[in-house]
Amino acid sequence: MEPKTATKRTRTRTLKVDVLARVEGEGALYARIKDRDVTDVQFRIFEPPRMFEALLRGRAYSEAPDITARICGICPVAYQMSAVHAIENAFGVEIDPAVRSLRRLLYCAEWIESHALHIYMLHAPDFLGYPDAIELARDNPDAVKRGLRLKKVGNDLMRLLGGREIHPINVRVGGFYRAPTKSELAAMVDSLKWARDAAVETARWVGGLPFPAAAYDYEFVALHHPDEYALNEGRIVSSRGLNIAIEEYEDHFAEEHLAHSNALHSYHKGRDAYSVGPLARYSLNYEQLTPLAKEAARSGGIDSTCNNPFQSIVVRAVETVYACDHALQIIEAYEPPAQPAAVVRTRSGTGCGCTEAPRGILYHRYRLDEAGTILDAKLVPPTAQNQKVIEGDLRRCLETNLDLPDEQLTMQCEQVIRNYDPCISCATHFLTLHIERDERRGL
Amino acid sequence: MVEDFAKAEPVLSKTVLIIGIGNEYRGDDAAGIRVVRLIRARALPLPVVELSDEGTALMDLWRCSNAQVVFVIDAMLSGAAPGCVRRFEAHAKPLPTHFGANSSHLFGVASAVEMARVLGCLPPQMIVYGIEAKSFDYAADLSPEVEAATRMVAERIYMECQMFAEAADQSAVPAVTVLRSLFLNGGQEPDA
Repeated sequence: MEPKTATKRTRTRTLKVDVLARVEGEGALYARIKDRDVTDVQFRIFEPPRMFEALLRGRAYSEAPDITARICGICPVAYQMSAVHAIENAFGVEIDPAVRSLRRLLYCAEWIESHALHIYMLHAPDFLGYPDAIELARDNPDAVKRGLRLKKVGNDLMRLLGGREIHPINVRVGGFYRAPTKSELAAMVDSLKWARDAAVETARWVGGLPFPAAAYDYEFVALHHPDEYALNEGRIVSSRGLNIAIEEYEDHFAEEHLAHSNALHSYHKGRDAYSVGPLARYSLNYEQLTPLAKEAARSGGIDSTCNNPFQSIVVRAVETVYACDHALQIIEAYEPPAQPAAVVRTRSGTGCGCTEAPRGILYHRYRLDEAGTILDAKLVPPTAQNQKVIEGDLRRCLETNLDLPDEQLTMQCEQVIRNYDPCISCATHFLTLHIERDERRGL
Repeated sequence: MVEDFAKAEPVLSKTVLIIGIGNEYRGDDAAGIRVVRLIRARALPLPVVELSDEGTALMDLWRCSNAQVVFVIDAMLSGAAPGCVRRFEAHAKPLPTHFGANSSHLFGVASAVEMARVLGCLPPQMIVYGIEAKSFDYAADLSPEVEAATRMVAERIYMECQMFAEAADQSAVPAVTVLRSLFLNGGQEPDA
């Protein structure tokens, strides 16, 4: 706000949005602006601690995939996959290659479902100036129908492999309770081919959206696998040279509790904030994408790295192309495993797992006794890891746009938060937005 | 009446869909789930679905079923007395905004209905029953007021299906039209 008079005057302005729309869950933003300086930015997570880590103690290892899946209705597969990999790591279980492929296929289903929902229902309205997806649909019915149908293909694949589309019930340590037949998977081919075309069209469509200029120097952190776009396995790498085994995660990353949030804030030890999720994955693993996904990236207007958080919508579209393309490859090559699950022999020990949830790496660690009872557990969801980066982006947004009226500034901040598709249910509930301006005008 | 109903079941099973919405672990939020379980307990082959997912899944349900009449039952918070029941013909006009406004999910019932209206995929009849909640406490039972309301709503929907069955039997008149005129003229609106 430009000074208009020469008098000294302190003025406090408060912006408040009771429930921020188009995020999953509930949380809040608090910002304080004094004398044109942004003095405080807090991305608050209100949700009462849900005590999942404590709830797991004393439970059988076999219950972990189903208990942790309940943390989130949008990314239950991520929780199941990180849980089973961590426990298999502790017990030394070897997985049949066909089971490994089915796990990637299940993950593709979750990515298609989650990314389509975020692109069309939550994020796209921001760029086109619509308050919500319904208004977007009024002017762009074909695009929204495409998005809904694309999401449904993800749901259908999830139901086929997982038994139902949310909180699937077919995942177990060692594999699956039941493996699908070849013909069951073949029945998905036509709809996945349609979805692949729709995802390519999505990348082209979102590439044409107007993006605010931004290029931030993040430390990107993601899983990396030399032979495939990493989903379930690999090493944890960063854009600043980190390259560690999953077991070393806690040597390099830690969490701290801040008074304003019920979610722990993650940080890279000796450094600071780091970014996980589509931008990080894409920028670190571009070479592992399929040719069609790379082509979709070109048509969406992004290079082999992307550090504009607003273009995360394009990266999600590219990853949706990859997920459809890869799902078709898996189905084409599929031969059912001899057994749907490996034999699991319990032993005492500690195991870690890290997989790529739609919003970024999800780390699990379990300590188990000889009988396979969970002694303690640690779960680090991607939204907790991104909290510091989100706060940094919000600060930059406020500093760059201080002269905007409150209403527009609020909308910009909301958009910054939605760039991360924060799965606040994994870490929050109710997102309210509160900006306090303490302006001494006329100085 | 029951005999007529039984005769029309093959028709009903294809043309009616009853969807109960809620989280059974959050007190009165389970009202919609309870209603469809009461209907299911009558052992009639009416298609009933329990849903705890977000609204796009709700749209998928009726789009894929091709149902002519869709009933949706959900808890609401409108400021009325707990257990108060309201019936809305959502195919005719938008639901009040308090439907789903308290959902922590992305897309509530009202949003799903409006999105379907915009995209031209609302069923010909979309009847929404709202039951005023008293409490959404974790792991709580239904409050007595809401419990009584769920029985009343289950009975109402059963009656509506019976009327639909009778209407479907009169082949000269399209069933949906007859059903609508029954509601318009028959004083069956429970929301005073």
